[in-house]
Amino acid sequence: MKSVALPSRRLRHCWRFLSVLVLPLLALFDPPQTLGFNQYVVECLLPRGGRIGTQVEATFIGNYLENPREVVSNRGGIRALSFQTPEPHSERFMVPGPRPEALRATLEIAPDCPPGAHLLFLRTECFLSDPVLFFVGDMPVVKETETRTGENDTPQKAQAIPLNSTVHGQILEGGREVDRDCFTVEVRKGDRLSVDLEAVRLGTLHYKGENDCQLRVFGPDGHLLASSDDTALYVQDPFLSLEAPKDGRYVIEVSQHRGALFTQLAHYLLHVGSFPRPKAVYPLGGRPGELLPVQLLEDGKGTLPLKLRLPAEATPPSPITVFEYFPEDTRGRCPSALPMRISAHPNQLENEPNDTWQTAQAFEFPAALNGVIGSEGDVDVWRFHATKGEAIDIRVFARTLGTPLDPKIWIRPARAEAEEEKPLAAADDALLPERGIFSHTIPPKGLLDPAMTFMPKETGEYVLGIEDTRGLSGATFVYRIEVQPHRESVCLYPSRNKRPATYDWTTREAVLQIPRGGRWTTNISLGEGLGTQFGAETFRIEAVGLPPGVTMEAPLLHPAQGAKEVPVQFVAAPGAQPGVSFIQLVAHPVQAQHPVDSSCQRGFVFSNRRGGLGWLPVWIEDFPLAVVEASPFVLDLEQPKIGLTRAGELDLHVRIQRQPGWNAPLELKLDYLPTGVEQGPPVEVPAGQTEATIALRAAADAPLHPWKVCVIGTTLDGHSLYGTGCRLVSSALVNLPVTEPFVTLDFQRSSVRRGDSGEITAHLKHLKPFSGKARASLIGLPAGVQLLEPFPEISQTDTSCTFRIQATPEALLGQYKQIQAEIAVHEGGQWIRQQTGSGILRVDPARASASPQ
Amino acid sequence: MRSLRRIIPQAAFLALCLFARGLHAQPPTNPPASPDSTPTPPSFRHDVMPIFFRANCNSGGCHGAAAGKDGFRLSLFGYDAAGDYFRLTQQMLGRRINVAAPEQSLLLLKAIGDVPHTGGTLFKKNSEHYRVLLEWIRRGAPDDEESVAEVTGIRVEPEKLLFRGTQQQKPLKVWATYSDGTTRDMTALALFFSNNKTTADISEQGVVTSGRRGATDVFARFSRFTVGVSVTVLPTDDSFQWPEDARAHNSLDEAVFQKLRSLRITPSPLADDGDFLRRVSLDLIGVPPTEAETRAFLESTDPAKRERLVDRLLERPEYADLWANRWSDWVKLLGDTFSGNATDTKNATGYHQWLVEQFQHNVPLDRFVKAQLTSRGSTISDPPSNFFTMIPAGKYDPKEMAQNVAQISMGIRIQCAECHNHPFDRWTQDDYYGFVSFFTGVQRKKGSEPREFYIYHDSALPPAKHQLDQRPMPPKFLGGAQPALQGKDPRFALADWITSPDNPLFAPSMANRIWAQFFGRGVVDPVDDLRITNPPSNPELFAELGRRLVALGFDQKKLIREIVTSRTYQLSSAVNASNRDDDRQFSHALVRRLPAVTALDTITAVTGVETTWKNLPGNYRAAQMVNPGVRNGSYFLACFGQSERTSTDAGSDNREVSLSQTLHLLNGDTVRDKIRQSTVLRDLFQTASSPEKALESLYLRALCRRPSPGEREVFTRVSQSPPVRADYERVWWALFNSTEFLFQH
Repeated sequence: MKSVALPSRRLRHCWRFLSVLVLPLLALFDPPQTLGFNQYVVECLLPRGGRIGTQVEATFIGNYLENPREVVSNRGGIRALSFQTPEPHSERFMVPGPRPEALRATLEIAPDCPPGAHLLFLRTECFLSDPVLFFVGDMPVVKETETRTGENDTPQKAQAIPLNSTVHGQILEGGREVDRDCFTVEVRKGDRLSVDLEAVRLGTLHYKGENDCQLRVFGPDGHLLASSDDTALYVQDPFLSLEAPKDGRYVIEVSQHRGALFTQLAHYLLHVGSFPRPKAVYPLGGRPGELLPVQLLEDGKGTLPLKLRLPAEATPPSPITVFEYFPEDTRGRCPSALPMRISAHPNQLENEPNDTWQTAQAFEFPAALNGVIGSEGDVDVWRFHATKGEAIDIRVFARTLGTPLDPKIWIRPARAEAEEEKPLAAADDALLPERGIFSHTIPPKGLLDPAMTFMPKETGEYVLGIEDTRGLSGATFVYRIEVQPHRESVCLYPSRNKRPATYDWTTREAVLQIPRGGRWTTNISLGEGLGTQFGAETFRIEAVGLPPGVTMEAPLLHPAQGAKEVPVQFVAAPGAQPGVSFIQLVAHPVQAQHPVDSSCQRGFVFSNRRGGLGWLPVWIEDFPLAVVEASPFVLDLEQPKIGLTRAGELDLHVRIQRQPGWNAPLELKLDYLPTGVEQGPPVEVPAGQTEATIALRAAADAPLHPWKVCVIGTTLDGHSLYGTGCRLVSSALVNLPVTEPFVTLDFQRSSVRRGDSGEITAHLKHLKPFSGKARASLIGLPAGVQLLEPFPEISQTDTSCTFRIQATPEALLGQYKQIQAEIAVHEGGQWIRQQTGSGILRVDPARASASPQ
Repeated sequence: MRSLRRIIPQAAFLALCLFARGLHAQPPTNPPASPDSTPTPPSFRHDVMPIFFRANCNSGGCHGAAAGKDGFRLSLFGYDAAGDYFRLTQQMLGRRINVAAPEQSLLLLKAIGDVPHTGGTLFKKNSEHYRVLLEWIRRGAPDDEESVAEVTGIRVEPEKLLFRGTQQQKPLKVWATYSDGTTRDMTALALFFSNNKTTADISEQGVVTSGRRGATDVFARFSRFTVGVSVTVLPTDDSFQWPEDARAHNSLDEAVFQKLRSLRITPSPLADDGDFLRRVSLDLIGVPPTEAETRAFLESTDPAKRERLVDRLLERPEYADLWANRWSDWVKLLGDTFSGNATDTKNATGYHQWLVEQFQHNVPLDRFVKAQLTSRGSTISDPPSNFFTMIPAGKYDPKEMAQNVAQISMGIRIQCAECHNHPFDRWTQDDYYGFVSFFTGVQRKKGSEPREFYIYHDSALPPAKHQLDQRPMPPKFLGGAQPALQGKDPRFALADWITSPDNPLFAPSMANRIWAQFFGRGVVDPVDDLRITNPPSNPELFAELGRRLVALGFDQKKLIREIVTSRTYQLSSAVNASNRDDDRQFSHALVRRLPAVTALDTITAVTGVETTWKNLPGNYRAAQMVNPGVRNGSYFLACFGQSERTSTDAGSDNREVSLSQTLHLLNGDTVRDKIRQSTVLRDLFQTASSPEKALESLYLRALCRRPSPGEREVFTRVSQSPPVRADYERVWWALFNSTEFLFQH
């Protein structure tokens, strides 16, 4: 491993301060420049997509790309056939890091590769990269030929492309001229012309631009036939579909919206063909394995009835995973998916009129209710029977699945007079946990869909109504409501609640990399799903899909005791084979008698809006886990023989086993800290040193719990903030219970005069036995007041102790609160320091000297 | 819509007359009791508070300010009598009012200046005001009984005044009517003021003195009521004759000319073709005609060429750009780079494009306003919904929304009534909060991406609460009925009411906004400040404008066509002896500085050098910009007062003339660079057949006329022979710096 010159510790801590505190603030005002200091493993991948069944010459651009080993996709079907040696790189659209490199690779896209977006991870000898999006499609690829703005900016200069092809194009950056790209295709009268643009979805521009493109199509006579800017399905990305009115040459224009910034090259994939390109599908889901009749709405050819064979596996209730339906007919396959749901609930399709409680359509749950808010003022009302005390989960899927409906729902008793009453329950926009989203705080469009758990207070007939919050309607305002008896659900997700959900952070924390013969620890939190409350339940974490030679260890989760987050540790045996696996974490309730659905998720964003807002969230439910080559050091954290007392301090001792010849400095800290426990700044271990101590401190109200902790060691040759380029190693987990203090002191109010000596007395309350004598001292004394030696020593049998103090003639007058005692107990072979008490000391003026008679 | 007629009289200003006629016709009864002749002590509300009013104690600049003055606060113009009584008698016991030693009351000592008083001496110790106050205190400073009669209105006699000649005087008398049916002469306690002192001044005692020829209004104010009296001043000379050729082209002319006749004002003759061509081009599309267009127009002998020109200009795309730009100013259309306030550039761009399309397609104004008032949905995919994010910049505030809607759509300002009944108009706090409640249910929430917000109505939200007693105020039309809403979005009912042809405020107000664009001032001016104390300069014209807009189906282009083909619009700016002083009756074209965007776009068009903008690729005319160009670093637009869109005031686009404008044209980079870079000038220099032809081209492009013999002579004298490019540059520089170029005339 190469090493770089280290700045001094002070300088590095200054940098840490700047990075943590100042840069995020600056980012609010000018993110492109200030965040330009960020460093990446993989910043960009070009081209942004490829055709199924072909090989693509691709370039990974990033940092620390040496010794590449493999490329994996979260969905499979893509691999690297070969790599070249990384070369220095300085293309402007990339945010430069310390070692910007371009790594050329030949990627193979298998014939059975799933279409759509893939998350690719690059594994090198020592690292697993953060993910980069790559798009796979059916059609042959054409490159845009424009090299300077203006070369294909008008219909007359349009680049000819074959129908049914994908253009890899780019909006050129900057300058006074606005780049527009025009392409022309020959279309016959009556044929469908569909255009689908992937731009913002590519996630290429992380900071400097919006990549918010729009489409226009001109007919053979030059008249504008259709245009598209934002769409309900893909938000900023446009698409359109039309039936050609005549034979001829049609022109497709791609441009960015007028208010967009043109400061960065913006890539796009333009799909042009005769494939179906509907705006919505109805219904929005079905049962696993079912041959589902669907209608494709507002395609260029009108409404298309089709039958769709659904996969055998259901999709989870949270919106983070959907079934991606790529509609196809004899003319081709739609390049972008329509998201759908697959659930075991039988479908019910609405029959209008169903706008009132009298005309409400009856259903029995579990059920999936499907309908369209199709006309002005439309309300769909569904009727059901519910039993007192039996909770019902109701989840709406509309914006989640890309329809324009902004739904709100309500429940009323099924009777006339209830129509004028306040609903028994109502829901509009959901909170993140209600939609099963835990892994970051970026509100996705799915939060516009309500979700609730309804607890009937009476057995009887009820009606469930759905309408658009804004009062809007249309043929594509499709919804699906899944209603089922309540099920408890939990979710495991990486803890990042203390960090901003931006491109930097979420991608940095997207991978697990375990050195052979070493350990890697990540913090995992447990979230409560819709209508779920943990109570006193305890959960055990299981890892599913671990590769051979890798094991997982995790403490139990005790949410009721404040332990909703635990360190989860992966251990790779020395003989474990390097490679990438996708694993899942499952939470099992230890005591529960009823079933609990468990899921895990990891979300990250690919674009930061100006002002630092991250968006374009992408979730995965399989965590990529890489076994990489052994690290140059191993950490051995000594098991403390005693716990950490409340308001006490304890030293952890760490031994560093260095590989022969590796003497570089490193930094130690605890990534996981129990609730109420603090540590100091990271401990820097100088070059060659093999031992270190980390001091921990517990708050007076820290929960009493048998925590487990480990120490993370980091080399200093990468990025100190993000860890990019650093080798990270974890020690084994050790027990660190937080316990009651040994003794507490109750001070009596005391006073001392300037120039005099005095005493402070405290009553002792023994909470826990200790052997020998404990040393006691005072902290918080005002200036000019000293504690006199010998300091008192406390034994197990003492009931009080007295501190002798001396005030100087200049001691500060006044009343001082929060005089505390520090008790040092020697137990289990080491010293434990605890603080206790809250005394008051008054410093009075010096006694007046006796006046002469 | 019968209710509308009942709610708001034919027009706000006419309401005054109707109101006056509705009062008691019998002579005043139960005159105020003299303190000396009756054991009844002076009434706090009837006798004491009017003194505060008359002496300006409770005006906004004195103790009527929200925070009071020098530690003592009165309610503004006495809208809260109970509060005033408390603060006066009980807030500082024995100090402001000293019943034991009445003469030592601070109220009296301050008023007569015996102790330092920021407001100075208000009246003398021997005055009637002092005597009433002293008597009231001597009697124990009693409060009125709960059943005390309230002022229900005032009337002024006479209702109209006609003077012949200057320095004539006539007194007014002010009668107040009370809820117990009594009427009192309150002339001595009323306040008087004039809208135009040069035509008619009025003394503190209500005596009107005539000034120069013209028409104006004087006002009497008492309690919360203000009543106007129209004053006409005619010359003593009877030699006035209406010009034979000054025939009205349409009903708008008739209304104007009728007023001019009544004032014995002779209108100016028609402007010549060059002046008309330039004037109508800049007014209609914001850019001057090309040289070829000018030549063709000047040489045309078609008697209907002016009408045909107007028709062509109305179909030009620049027409829509110009009107979108004006409405962008009025709705505060701004885009920024941070999404937190729902005003991202994308949203603003969509809204601006929507505005352009409305004027391209000539969407009727009632539909145009209604679409914005009732807008809902996404601020990105439903552009008019940005009406609810742009106007209340930052956090949504239903009060701000209501105020601005009233101002934009009906030309009235109701914001004063938020804290007290409007001092200069008829709007009460009840009116205000009832109107605000149309907007209290409007919500905005984040949409599918950071830039997007959804606008919608939540019928479950409560209406506004009255500021004084916190009672809920259901949606209620301004000064009128409470619509039956039944859980519906009240904005739809409001939009129907506002844009109804029966609404006497909407159509005239909209038409007046349009009129003002072509004359430099409205019949009501400012166009968004119609109130009793700011009536139309020509009420018949104001009403006729509204009638025409309604009759034309709220078709803006048709109304504009009527306006710019009227004789009034085509009058010359040259004045005669009778209309020299007229700046309100449209007897001649007012010389007015070009708006900032038109000025810049004109220089751009003449020189052919497009304007580039900071942080914005592409070339746009100033009138095409989404954000005002002043926000893209244009010093020219800043200097010439382009609106920064921080206010919905129609006058936020400043048309005043300043020294810095003159200096910038003389020495700034705008004129200098465009002249230097002008390819038009280069081509002209290289291709003109003669210096005379080149000079003529320069004049035709810049001023739409040919140079005069004198100007040709000067050019020949000061230029080299043959002229070099620098000579032509100097010609343009001189023309751009001329009043003729920068002003409509």
